[in-house]
Amino acid sequence: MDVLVLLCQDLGHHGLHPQTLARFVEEEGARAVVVPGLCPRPHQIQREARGAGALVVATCHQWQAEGAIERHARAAGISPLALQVIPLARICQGDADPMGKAQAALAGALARAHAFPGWRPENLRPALPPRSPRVSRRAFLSLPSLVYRPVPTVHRGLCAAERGCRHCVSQCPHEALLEEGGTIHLRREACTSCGLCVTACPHQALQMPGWSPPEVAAQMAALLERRGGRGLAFICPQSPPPGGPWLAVNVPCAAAVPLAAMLIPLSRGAPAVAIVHCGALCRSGRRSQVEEKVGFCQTLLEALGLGKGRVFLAEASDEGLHLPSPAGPAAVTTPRPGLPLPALAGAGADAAAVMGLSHSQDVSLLHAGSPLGMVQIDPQTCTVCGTCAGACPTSAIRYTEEEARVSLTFDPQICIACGQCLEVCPERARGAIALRRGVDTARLRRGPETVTQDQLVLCRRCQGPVASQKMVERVIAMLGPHVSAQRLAELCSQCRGLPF
Amino acid sequence: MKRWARLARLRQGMYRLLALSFLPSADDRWGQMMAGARYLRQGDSIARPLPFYSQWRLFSQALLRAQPQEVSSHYLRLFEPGGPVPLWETAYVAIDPLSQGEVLADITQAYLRAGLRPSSQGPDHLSAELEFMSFLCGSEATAWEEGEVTSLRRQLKRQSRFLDRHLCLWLPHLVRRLETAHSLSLFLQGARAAWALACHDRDMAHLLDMELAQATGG
Repeated sequence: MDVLVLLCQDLGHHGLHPQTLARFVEEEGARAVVVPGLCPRPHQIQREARGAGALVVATCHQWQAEGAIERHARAAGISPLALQVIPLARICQGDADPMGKAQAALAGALARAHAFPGWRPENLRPALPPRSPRVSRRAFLSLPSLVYRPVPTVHRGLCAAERGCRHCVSQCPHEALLEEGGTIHLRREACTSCGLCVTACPHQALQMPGWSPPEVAAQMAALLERRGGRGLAFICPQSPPPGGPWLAVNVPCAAAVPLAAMLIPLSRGAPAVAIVHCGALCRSGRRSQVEEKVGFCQTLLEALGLGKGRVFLAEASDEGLHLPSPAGPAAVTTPRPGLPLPALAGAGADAAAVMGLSHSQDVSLLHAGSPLGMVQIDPQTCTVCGTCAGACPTSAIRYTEEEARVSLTFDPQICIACGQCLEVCPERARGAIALRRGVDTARLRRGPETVTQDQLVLCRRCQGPVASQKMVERVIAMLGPHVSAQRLAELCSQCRGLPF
Repeated sequence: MKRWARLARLRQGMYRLLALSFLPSADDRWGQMMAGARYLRQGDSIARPLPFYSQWRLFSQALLRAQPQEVSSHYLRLFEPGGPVPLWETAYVAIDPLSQGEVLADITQAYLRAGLRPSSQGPDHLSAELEFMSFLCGSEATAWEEGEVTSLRRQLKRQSRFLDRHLCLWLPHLVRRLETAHSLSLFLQGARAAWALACHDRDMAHLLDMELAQATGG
């Protein structure tokens, strides 16, 4: 990917050195051009950026007219998904080492651009800028400046909808995702590009180039390498970037920040993490979900003795974004430099982040905001039918038949607390299965455990499996005394119809 | 409304040129295509900030560089019956005769509703579908020019429905097939440009229709 960085020469008026930054960018493996008067004359982008695969524009301040840079970049053939705009002078204000912060921000943007996976025409949707007045007949006299929103696409090869997974459908706040005949469909007009489905999907089947978890992880890793005592603030496109000792990580929506992204920076030396909510402009409208997730994070940090204030929720307003100084307790750990960042999304990512932070410390807590779950199976009432295992989208519950035994195993590391196992359990009313939202680090470290097992009744004719002993007994108990228990347990479903 | 009309006329020309490029080569048509490509290039500044434009430019460059004999031989290798890349929608989206019939009926219905009589030679051929889109864009341009909101909304609805149910559904498969069949750049870029244009127009037509509905209280 050919990455180009355009730097406004006027950055020099704000205590930054554009030529030094350009040299830094070239050392990082990208092209850099210092453009005189880029901020007042953004049309220069059309000439300078032609032929680039991805573009980073470092400006003095945030653009007033939404879409101005994007429009010129599009005219140069740059996809809006491959464009990043950093108001460099603005974000470096109030920082003790503005050049250090500018270099960190550029390194993050470059890492993100290098991780850009490419895009498909379906990944873009035209929209009118949200702050523009409604289009009237008169307004149609001129062509309004369209902006383009990212739209996720479903990778059919990775999607587990055919196996019953509906996690993305349940996570979408706008009912933009529908399941039909084992396939997930997107109602493009209902999608607000919040990206909740993208981070929620345990198989990473939902892909939104420009905002994918690997791109966010690449940016985070680069920022953490050059953090220099600064905290990480997750901001959405509606939020102003943070000034002072904070580095911005760009996410589609605060609600789409996974637990792993909140915890990994702490285990990699960042002193604090801020999740910035954009208020009334929120694309997902799921503030309560962010509050719950941050609340869980804080409870976990407190239980680990690391101080709950290291992760907090902040609110952006019209006046801007003011974050408290992340200075305070020292970093949780001193990581080895160059260590690759673990995955942010997908089954197991959150559990790995919890284990990475807790080391060998044991913590067990329940919290409604936990994205991790612990399935409880009651061996007395569970008939080991395996229906729950069939419905589990991540295979956290597994059903195995071995010799003459059946068993259910549960792996808390990959449980996403979706609750689909509860919905299908035929013995749920009798308390056979329960889901507790929370985390037990000792159990996480132990990994998969057998939660129940039983003898397998074998077919008298073909020696194939009939059912578990408990299931046979349960069915007999339900059918009453008129059915011969022996006859029911004798033959499997295939042999039952054949003349004996 | 002049600029919207201009954009619609440009899209009309783009669809038409794309439709022609997926027809068997003929000497007189080749000349028309070259003239059309040059003409569209002169007036395409309005489309430059739109994201499909970069793909369109690649197609237009490939067309202006192409040699008629080479195009003709590749066309025969790729698209003639039995070739690796069928140009019919039903070859990609319909797996049995019943669903093929449903797809063909839906396409025919769309043509008839727009006042067109489908030819007997495959209404689901890529060129036919692109030519139909060209016709709808032409009607949209006329509606913009005349300020006919009712007619305009009808045309926009027709476009977004047809693109959503047909071209946007099977063009990705066609592009993938062309990529694996070592296609001539002209055809591959043409299919990619058609895909990008179709995806863009589907959403834009829907957006404009919604905005017009709000503006007119309809």
